[in-house]
Amino acid sequence: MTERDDRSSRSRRPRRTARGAVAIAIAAVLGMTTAACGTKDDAGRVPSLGATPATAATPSSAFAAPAVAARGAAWLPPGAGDGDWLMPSRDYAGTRYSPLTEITTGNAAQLQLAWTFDDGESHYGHEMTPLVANNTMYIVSPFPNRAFALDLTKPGAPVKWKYEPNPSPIAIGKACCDAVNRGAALYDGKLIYNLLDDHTVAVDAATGKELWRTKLANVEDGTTMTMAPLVADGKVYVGNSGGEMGVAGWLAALDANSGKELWRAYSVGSDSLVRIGAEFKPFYAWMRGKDLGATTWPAGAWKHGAGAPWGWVTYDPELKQIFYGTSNTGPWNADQRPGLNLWTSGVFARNAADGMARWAFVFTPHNEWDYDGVNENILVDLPVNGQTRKVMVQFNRNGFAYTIDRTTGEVLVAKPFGHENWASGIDPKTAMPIVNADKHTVPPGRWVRDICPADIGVKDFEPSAFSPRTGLFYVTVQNICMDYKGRETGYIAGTPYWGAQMTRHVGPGGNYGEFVAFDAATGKKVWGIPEPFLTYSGALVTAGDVAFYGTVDGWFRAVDARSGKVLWSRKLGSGIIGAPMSYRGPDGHQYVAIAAGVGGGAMTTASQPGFPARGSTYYVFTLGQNVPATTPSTAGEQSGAPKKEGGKP
Amino acid sequence: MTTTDSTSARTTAARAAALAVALLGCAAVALASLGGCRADTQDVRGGAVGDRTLPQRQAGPAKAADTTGLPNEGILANVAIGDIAGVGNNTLDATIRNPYVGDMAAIKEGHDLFVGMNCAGCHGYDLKGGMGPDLTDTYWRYGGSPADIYKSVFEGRPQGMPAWGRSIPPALVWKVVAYIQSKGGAYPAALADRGRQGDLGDEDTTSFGTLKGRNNP
Amino acid sequence: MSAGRRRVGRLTTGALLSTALAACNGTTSYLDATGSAGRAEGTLGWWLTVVASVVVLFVCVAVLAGVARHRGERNAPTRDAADEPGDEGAGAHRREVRSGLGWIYVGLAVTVVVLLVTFAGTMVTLNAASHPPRTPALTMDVIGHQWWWEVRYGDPAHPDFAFTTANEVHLPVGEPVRVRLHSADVIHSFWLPQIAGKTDVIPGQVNETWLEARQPGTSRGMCAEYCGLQHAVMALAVTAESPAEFARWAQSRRAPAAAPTAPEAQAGQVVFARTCGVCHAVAGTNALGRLGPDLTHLASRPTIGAGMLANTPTNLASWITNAPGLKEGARMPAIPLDGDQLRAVVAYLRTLR
Repeated sequence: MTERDDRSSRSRRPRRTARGAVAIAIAAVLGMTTAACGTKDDAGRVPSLGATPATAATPSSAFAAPAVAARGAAWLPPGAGDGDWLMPSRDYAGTRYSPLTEITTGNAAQLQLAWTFDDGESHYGHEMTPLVANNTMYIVSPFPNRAFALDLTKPGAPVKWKYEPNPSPIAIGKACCDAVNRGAALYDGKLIYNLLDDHTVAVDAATGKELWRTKLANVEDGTTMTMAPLVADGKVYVGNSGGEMGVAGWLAALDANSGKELWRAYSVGSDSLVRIGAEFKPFYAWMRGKDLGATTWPAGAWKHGAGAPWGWVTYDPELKQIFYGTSNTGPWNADQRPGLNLWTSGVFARNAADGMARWAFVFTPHNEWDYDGVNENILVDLPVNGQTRKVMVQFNRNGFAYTIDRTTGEVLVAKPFGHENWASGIDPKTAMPIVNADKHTVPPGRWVRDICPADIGVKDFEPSAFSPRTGLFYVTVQNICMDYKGRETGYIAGTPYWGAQMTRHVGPGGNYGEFVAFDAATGKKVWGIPEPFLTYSGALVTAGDVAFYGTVDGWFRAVDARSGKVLWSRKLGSGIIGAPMSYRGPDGHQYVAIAAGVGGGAMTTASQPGFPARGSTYYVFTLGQNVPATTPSTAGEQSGAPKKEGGKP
Repeated sequence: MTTTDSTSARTTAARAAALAVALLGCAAVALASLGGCRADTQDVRGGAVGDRTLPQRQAGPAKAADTTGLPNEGILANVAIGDIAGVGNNTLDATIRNPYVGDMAAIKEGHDLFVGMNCAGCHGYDLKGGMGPDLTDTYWRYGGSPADIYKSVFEGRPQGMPAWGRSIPPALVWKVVAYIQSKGGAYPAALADRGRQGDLGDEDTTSFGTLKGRNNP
Repeated sequence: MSAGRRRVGRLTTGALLSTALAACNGTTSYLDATGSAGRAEGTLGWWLTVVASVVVLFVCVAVLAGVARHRGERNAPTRDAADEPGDEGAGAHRREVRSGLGWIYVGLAVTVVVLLVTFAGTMVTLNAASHPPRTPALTMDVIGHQWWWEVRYGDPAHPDFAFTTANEVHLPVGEPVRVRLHSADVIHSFWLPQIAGKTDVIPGQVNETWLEARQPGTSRGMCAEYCGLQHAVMALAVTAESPAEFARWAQSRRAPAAAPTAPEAQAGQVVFARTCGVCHAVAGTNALGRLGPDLTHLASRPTIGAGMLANTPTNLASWITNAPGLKEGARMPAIPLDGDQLRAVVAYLRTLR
């Protein structure tokens, strides 16, 4: 398996190198010229893969070669080079780790704005990650879910094509938390994404022509779709949203070529609906039994019990297994659904081919606080208690970071990664939370004060990043609490099946946000950067050991992934709730892109003084000397670098 | 009184006797009545009463309870249900008065409906908005006179507002509107035209105290 | 003379009237108690009645005897005689008053004993009635609405047990049931006369009581609150049955409603979900409103309108189209369904067994 040469907390990764494969892929996809990189430090060189060349530019020579990024091409969508970003998390493991090394801790302070783009949909939050392949950036706007292809080979990245799917406006009023979209996936020359009105579309990535469109549900009933699909092995995995609208959650697999639905696995209901069969072996006894998705509910209540997989799907190409979380339990008012309410607020591991469940785990049984289980499940190999385990790590809304054996579903580590006071811990035997008696929201109709975290959790959907170089997870943590009052609610199709009244307030210390580096093998926070405003953006970490994140008041920051020192900050036009990504441009340089358009769950803190207005702008940054020359005088002043063609190859 | 002593004594005796008889009588009757009730069955009032009160016209809509002071909804109730967007097409007679305005019982019922129909899920338990718009400000995308609000509730609106006219009788819609009005969530019919144009200013919002204008928080 | 007779007449009429108004219905007779608390309280009631009757009888006899004995003595004027010392008549009178004082002591003693005994008996009985004999396994949340009862069963040890029904209570014989009383609007008073005494239902607080049936049978529960439009027509169908039968009933109540098979009933389900479902729930369907009673197993309930009408198709139809006309103050509006829709909805409701 791996040599565990050093027991220090920082170098415990198994390593499987496949740099060659990645390099070939890059060469094939990009056909780069390397000449332009000559004046910059070594980290900018094209063949710089993983961490190897970065040793010179970073103080990280003590750290060994990467594990995850070097796992092999199977962990990346087909055709992805190291400068590409074909899916929101870049790789199937969900790491959001870029192997590019031009931007380092040493030069990140020189980041400059390269260009911007506005999709014009400032009404709604921008939660997506831009994608890049073939020198084209792909962006999907929030409702009305327009797709834009931006030509990176031309100055200012003009629009190459625009695709307007025209979803039904009814969907706006059925989306609980803003008419958002979390991005698309590039696969086999197609841009595949979900429309808010419950369609999945595939668009020709070269021309913007619609290839197929599949209707998956009725938006009038309260179902919407906001998640970014995961596409692997010819299958598109999509899930629904609507945990506040009384839906039954499902994840469907579509054929990537035709859009035809192959199977659909519900999160609630009988074993046949949930696709539970002989293969299903949950680790804990309380999850074993027949038809638990229906019998752990009052009569028929599972039909509106939510468990919508509106978050992220990750894929282990070795186990041929997909992982995804299920949303909160519906309605929020737990008094109306006595029972464990399986399989909501949990995670499924399924056979990627036929969708049959292999194991499941429920983080928050009988969820009384809207702690969804949809957050990303990052697949890494970590040494836990001296033994390298194949794990998935989820920073759950309920405030605990779960390190789970992804082959069995056994919880190895479950420790708080932010401020929570609703549970005193996780029972080591059953892995159930030990709930503090004064934080139960049942019986309803009374205010329960100061429950931490609030409904949006210690972390919401905003995806974390993992660096195989540091072995750390980079997480935007929320410090928000709530006063909660359960309310009776009835299900009326197309209206909220919600049943809660809340006021939210900042947690101890008065800072809403924090950017945290977390060691999931031991369950310990390594460092944190407090932020007065919510941190609701995704994270990015690069092989240059620079981590990126944004704040809800619009600061976009680059920090040293090892020390947590802020290297660079830039205030953007609106709050940041999207996830940053990094790509190599046609000029051979490394760029970082981020959307600024506050909305979504971040609006829970909109009454905070200084909260920004909404926006819809994408910002792209690169090192100052690489900024394409727009006015020659400025470019000349900025750096002594030789005048290049500046993005006009 | 001019009665003699003897008659007075006699009267006293007679009164005492009568009282005693009455008391005993009471006790006896009470005991007899309580003891004698055991044979009756439960739904004396059930079948008999119920079957006698069958309405003559089962097929037609029963208007009995809905005719109390309701305006003729005519046009309102017959508008096709669905996504009728656009203030520009609003030919509604904004002067139609809500028959329940200020009726405390109706407002309470309107509140129960507002919560029970999950209006609160979108517009908030405090009507301050959430998934749906704030109902306590002066900005009404489709007009904020009581009749405008009725129309929005009845017909639904494009961005997810259900058409409640399909589900509940007009009287209940008016009660919901009465509740919204009681929370300051409407402007007077006289200002409907200006309201639709977004022309309501501070002087207007302060002139009718129900609205929470900027000068009247 | 005539005044006395008039009084007698009035009192008698009153007694008879109150008897008539008591809706002389055996299944609401608290004297015919079948519940643990009800029986104890019934026995207490009988004893208090007997004691009170004996006292009344004794007083009546004593008063009559006194009147008869002194009838002749009052013929002479007494005011002056009483003022003259040494007068024979006056001396006899004083003696009599003295011996009479002795009777007062006797009377006082008897009264004190009777009061103490009845007080002690009452306290012991009420104390016993206020606590269940053992910790109840079942919990029932009863919510008073204008004008109907919502009843939720739960078992803290078995969260999956929970189910909701309306205007009906089933009790396993011999098992105490904890009852938590809530009000959704105004003050109500929960009373199952045959099972236990009444407990007020107060908005904003949870009152607790308990029930235990001692023998199988059906009876009628009611709202014993006086002030308000329809507390009087706010009844519960009470069924006490063996634990096994109760378990079967509970099992059936936990099951979702069976999907209708007949085309008319299927059409009715669609109408129901769109119209009735805003307020009413049928578990396992899209109709899960919570403003009105849960109708999941409506067809198996004996009455509709909270004990107002027998559960017949014609009554259902008339209730749907004109509930406020039948029961003034009912929150259910008159639903303007056309004939086909109405027939379909009634057909659907009849399938909800």
